[in-house]
Amino acid sequence: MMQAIDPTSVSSAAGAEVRLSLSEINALCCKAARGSGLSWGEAEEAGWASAWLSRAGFAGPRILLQRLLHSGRLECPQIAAGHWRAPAGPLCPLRTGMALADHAGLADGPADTAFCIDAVCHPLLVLPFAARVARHRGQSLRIGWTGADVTVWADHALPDAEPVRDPAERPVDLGLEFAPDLRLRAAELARATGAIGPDDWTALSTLSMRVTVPPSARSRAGAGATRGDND
Amino acid sequence: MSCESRNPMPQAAEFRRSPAEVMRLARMGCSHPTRLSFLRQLLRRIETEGWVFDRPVWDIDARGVGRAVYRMNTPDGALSLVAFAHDLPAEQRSDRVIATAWDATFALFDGTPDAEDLERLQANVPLQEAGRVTPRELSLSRANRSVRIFDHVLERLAAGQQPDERMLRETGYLMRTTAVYGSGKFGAADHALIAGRPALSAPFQAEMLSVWLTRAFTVDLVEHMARARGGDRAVRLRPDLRRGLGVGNSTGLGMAPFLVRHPVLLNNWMMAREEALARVRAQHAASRSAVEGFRAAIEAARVNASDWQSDHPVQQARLSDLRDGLTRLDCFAATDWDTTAPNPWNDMWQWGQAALPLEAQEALLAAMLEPHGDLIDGLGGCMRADEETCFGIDGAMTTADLRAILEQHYGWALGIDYVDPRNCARFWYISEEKLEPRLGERFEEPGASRELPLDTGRQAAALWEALRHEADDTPVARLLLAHPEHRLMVRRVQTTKRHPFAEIRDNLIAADMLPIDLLRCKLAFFGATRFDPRSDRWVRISLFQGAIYPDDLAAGEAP
Repeated sequence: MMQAIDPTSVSSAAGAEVRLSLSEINALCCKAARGSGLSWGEAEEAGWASAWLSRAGFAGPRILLQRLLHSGRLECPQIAAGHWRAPAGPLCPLRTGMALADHAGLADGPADTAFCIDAVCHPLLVLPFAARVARHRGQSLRIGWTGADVTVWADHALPDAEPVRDPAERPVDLGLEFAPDLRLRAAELARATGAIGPDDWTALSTLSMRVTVPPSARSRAGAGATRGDND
Repeated sequence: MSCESRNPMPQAAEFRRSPAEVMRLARMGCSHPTRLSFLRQLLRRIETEGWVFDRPVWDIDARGVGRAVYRMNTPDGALSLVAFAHDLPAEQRSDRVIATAWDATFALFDGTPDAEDLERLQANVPLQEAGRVTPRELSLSRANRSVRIFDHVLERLAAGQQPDERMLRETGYLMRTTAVYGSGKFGAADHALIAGRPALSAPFQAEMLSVWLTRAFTVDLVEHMARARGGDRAVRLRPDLRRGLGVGNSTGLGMAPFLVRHPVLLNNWMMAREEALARVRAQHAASRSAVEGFRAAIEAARVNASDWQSDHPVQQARLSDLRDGLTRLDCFAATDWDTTAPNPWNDMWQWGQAALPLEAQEALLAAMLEPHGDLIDGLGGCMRADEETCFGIDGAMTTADLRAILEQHYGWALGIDYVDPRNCARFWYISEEKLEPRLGERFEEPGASRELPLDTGRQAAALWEALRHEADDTPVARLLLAHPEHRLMVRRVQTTKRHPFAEIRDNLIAADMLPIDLLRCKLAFFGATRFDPRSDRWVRISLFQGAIYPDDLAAGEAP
């Protein structure tokens, strides 16, 4: 059963923080997002974004989990040139991030002039998509909100990430601007730890199990050879 | 494909097969290994770069229990297979992923493991899925004995005799691997961490190396046990019999969704192979050595087809097709093929298209590639994929453009009535029990509400329907904001525009879909032979039969 592969329960790491590979983070977070009700296409993005954040040194799985467990309804942005609004309530960072990346080449997307997005919850989840915009435009992109100032680069390098305070469930207004590349040195290639605590693993795993189907005699019978393997 | 702009043979373009012809399950399910297969790429690199082998640890007792380390010294450093041999009661022997114990377990270690590494691995590797490894490990795998063969070989060698040749040839291996996990599974190194190393950049090189060293371990183990049992009477396995042994592999549906979930990778595999065929067909002459190599490849295929056994009716029919086809091919190549014609290889190919069944057509492909290493081996470098770069969606694409791609590449999917039970009879899902992909019957089993998105044809048709209500100039970004449920298919369609071999052009939820066709295609790219279905969704194969062993390599200093 699922406990058999719980990485936080193996003998060498019982009850402790364990390290997941980026592909494990991607797979776990994708399934958890789908289990939370996102479409498969969005869930793939959520898995990718969580792994991106982990690679950049953020706690990707935890950040996604906070979004998936968010208590209120989160909306899509109302798109307009220069300013995306949140008339129906705070914005979902995943749908906002995807919309941001999707609009990278459009007039009502992120522009050379000042660009702002109102009331985004869990804004760290927007960063991977902002990085995709930066790559598309070949320019670095600076994103700020109260207490945070992050630059993502066009060349796949990791963000210039001073410790960023997580604003928890409180929505924040984002300001975005394309910026010259002022890096003094090349970014590190890998910063990932992939660390995940037992509580976060359990919560994400529980969500991910919602995409699985309980066993039946028929499903077991169809899964292997019709004859024995002891030959 | 990223290599397209550097293609040194643009004249091959007119000889390429179309994706509509190649990407059908019926044909993919007849795939044969070629010289571009991943195990062949590995062996070529090992020989070209002069990798050096040694076995720094052999700590196995008379019952065959203990551990060993098989090390390859490569230009980029050492890679070591750490093997743990166990004493497994017969009642626990299962190739299924539900098994919890095996005859032997393995990890491929990046470097040379020290005593501390070995202890850590000893505590985790025998547990497989229930253990954890680290980024120092590149793969995690296990194998079970083919008891009948293993015991027979052991008894004979211990008694100073060689095993029965026919028995050995028919089974072809002493042990079968089941899962061979790589790419970040259970804490192992992510593929991105090793993709920049030339030795490991081609697909599945760490996994192939692990299996190749496992093959050497299986023979060493049986010879060691025979010595322990027979003492001075015991003999080693005759070199030709040893060479004929491979490693078995037993695999099920877990492998099937991979090809759907990695469309760019699938495209690059297919496109490299198709470009190789096109280059050969574009040749204006057939050199004597190439013709000899081709005929030798046909003969090898005939011997392989004669040794290849299967009890499964689908494969038996295909084997019959293959044997008949290879006989006709051999005859045509010897008598009617004009090797002095302006395009002799294209003539050969076109004859095969008209005269041979699918099984033999694809075998002909493999035989035609075989003598043309100088022309095609470089294409092996085009078979990896930077999937992250291809992951983004082009939101500025218009609805009209998206429709045009659907019309061009998804015509096979748009005309199907997905309400008809025959066209949606199956659903793919993940089992709660073992977290492995399985295939269910939609109208007979619960669980379809938790379906995996492998219903690519049905989703393409749904997207097509959604686009009917959109203006031509609506950008995709706007469509997805309103309809996030189409995001997965929009990504696939856009991927297929740039990577025309990315999509399997068949309905993967149809009642008559054969999962073993997906397995065969992937396994052929690995280099597998002796494809032997045990059901319509479970298969045994053999890897590395006839290949060199690590101790065949020249001894010497590390490169």
